[in-house]
Amino acid sequence: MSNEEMDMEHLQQELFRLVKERLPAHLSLVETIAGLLSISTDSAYRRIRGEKPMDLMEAKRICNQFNISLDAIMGLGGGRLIFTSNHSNTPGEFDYKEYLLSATKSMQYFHSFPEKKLYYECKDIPLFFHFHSKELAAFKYFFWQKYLFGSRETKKFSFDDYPDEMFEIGRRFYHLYATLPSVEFWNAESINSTIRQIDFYSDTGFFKSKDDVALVYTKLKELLSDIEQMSAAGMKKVVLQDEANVEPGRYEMFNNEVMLGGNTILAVIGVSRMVFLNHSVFHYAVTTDLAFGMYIQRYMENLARASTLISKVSEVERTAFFSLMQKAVQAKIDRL
Amino acid sequence: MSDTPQKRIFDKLREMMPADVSLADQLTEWLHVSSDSSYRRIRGETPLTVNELVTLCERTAMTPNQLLNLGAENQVMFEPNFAKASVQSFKSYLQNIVGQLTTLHSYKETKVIYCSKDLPIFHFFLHPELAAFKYHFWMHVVMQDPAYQDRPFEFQVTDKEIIQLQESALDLYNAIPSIEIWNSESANSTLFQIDFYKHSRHFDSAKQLGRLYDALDEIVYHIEKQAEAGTKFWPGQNPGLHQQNYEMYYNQVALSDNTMLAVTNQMKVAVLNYGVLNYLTCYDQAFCASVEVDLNNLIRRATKLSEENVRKRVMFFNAIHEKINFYRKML
Repeated sequence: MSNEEMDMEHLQQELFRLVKERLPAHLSLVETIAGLLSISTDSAYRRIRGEKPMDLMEAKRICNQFNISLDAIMGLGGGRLIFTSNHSNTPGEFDYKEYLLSATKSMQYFHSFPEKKLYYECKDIPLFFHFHSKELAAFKYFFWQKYLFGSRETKKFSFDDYPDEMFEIGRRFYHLYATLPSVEFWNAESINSTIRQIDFYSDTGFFKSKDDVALVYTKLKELLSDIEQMSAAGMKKVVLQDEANVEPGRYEMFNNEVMLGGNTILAVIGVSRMVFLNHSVFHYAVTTDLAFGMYIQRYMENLARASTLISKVSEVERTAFFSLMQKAVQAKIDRL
Repeated sequence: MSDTPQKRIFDKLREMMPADVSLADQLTEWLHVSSDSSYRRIRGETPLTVNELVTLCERTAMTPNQLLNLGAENQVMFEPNFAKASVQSFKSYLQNIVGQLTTLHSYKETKVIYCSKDLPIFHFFLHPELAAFKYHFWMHVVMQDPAYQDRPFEFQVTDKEIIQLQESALDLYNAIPSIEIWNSESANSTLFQIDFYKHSRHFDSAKQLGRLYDALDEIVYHIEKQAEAGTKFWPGQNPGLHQQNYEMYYNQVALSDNTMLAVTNQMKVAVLNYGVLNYLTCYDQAFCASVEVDLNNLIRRATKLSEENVRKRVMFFNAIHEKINFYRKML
C-alpha cells in the first residue's frame, strides 16, 4: 500500500469514527452514509472500511452534515475550532420561529442518545422556562422583537399579539428540556434581567395597564415556585402529558456565587460533546469539537466544586435563595 | 468541468495568484508532476489525492476547510486562546492579548466595542493590588494550578514579566478608541470573588480584605474619571493630554457577555469570551458584521455615560460604590 493510500485510509477511518460518535444511537452508520451520498449500502461499507477512497465531494458532504472540520482530521487547522452560528447572513434580520425550531431540533437530537446530560451556566433564567406560562412567553417575545432585534413597532404590548403557534413550539421545546437530565448553575441575580426588562417596558409606557405588568410579575413568581419545587425534588416537572416521553429529567441546581455565568450550555451526549456559546446577548455559536467540549465540562465540574448544591439537599440555603428572588419580584408588584 | 469541490479549489487558487503566474506551472512545481498531469487535475480528469490537498494547503497557508469552502452554511472558524494551569501558559495568554492589541493598534483606524459582563479585563491592571488578587484567583480557582492551591495570597505579583505584559496590554488598550457597554452588575463578579476568598479564609485579616475593596473602589473612581473626560489614561496622568477615545454606555436591560468586536479600516474581528478568562477570535467577516449590528443595536438603546449625562453617570457609579461599601461593612 502506498503512503497516499494509507493517508486516505486513515483520513476516512477518522472521519467515520467522528460520524459514528455524532450519530444518534438508533441510526445505522452504513444506511446514513448510503443515503447521504446516494450510493448502495455495499459501496458505503467499502468507504467505511477504507477499501474505496472517497472523493472530495463526498468528504465535503459528510463534513457539512455532521459539522466536522476537515482541518482537524487532517491536522491542518492550526488549533482552530469550527462553530456553527445562528447569525443572519443579512445583518439585522432574525427569524425567531426558525431559532426556536432549530433549538427544538437540538433537544430532539440530545434525546436520541441513551446517555445525555445538559449543563447550563446561567446568566439569566434559562430560555426553556420562558414557556412556563403564555403570559411570560408573550412578554419575552415582545422584548426580543423590540429590544434585541430593533423592531421600530410602536404598538403597546398585548398578550393577544403573541401567536399561539409560537407558544406551541415553545411548549414542546420546554417539554423536551423537562425530560432531559440537567445541571444548572444559578445565581440570585439570574432573574435581574427579566425584572429589568419588565420594569423598562413598564416605565416607558409599553404596557396597556398596571394589571398587565402585575400579571407578568405574578407569572414570574409562579415560575420561581415551580423551579423551587423541582429543585427540592431533584426532578423536573413534565410539561406535556401526551408526548411519547413523559419521564421527568433529573435536576441538579447549584448556587454559583463565584463566577458570573455566561449562559454557556454543554450537552454531554454519549461520548460526544456539544457546546453552545452565548454571544452578543442573544445569539449562540455551537461546536461539536470534542477537546473543546471536554474543556468546558471540566470547567463546569470545577464550577460545581466552587458552588453550593441546593437541589435535594441544603434546604436552608435553597429556601433563602428562592426567598430572595421571590422578594425581589414581590417588591416590584407592591410598588405598582 | 461542472462545479465540483476540485474545481472550486482551483478557482480559489487562481484568485490568490498574481496575474502573471500560470496555475498549471505552479501546480507542476508544487506537486512535482508533469505539466500534462497538472492540466488533467485542473480539468478534473485526474482527482486530487489527499496528500496533494495537504501540499496545496501548506503552500497557500490555507486550511482544507477554506480551500474546500467547508462551512459555507453558517460555519465559522474561531482561534482559541486558552489559559492553562501554569504560570508559563498564563504568560503566553497575556502575550497573545498583547499581540492582538498590537496588530489592532497598527491599523490606520481601529475601534473596539466591549460588551462587558465584568469590568473589562484591562481595567484590573490599573491597580497592582487588585491585579494581584485577580491573578491569584485565576490561577487558584479558575485554572486550578496545583502550585497555587496552597499558596497564600500576596498583594503583589512577583513575576516581573507578567506585570510588564499586563501594563503593555493596558497601554495598548488605552491607545485604541473603545466603546464599553456596562451593566450595573459589572463589578459583581469581582465582589463575589473577594467574598469567596473571605469565606475560604484566604485573607489573614479584615484589613487585607479592606485593602482589596479600596483597590476596587479606586479603579471604579478612575473609570468614572475616564468616562467624564471621554479618554483613557493611567492614574496620575493628565487626561487633557490624551485624545478623546473612550465612550461608555449603560445597558440596563440585557445582561452582557463580554463579547468584543474590533472594527478597523480593513476588517472586523470578533472575540467571544468563555470560562472566565478564555476567548475565541473570529475573522469571518459575515459573522463579525452580524455581531456589529447586534452591538450597535444595544448601543442605540443604552444610556451614554461618558462626557455628557452627568446625572446618570454619577447615579450609575454611586450605585457601584454603594455596593462595594455594602460588602466592606460586612468585614
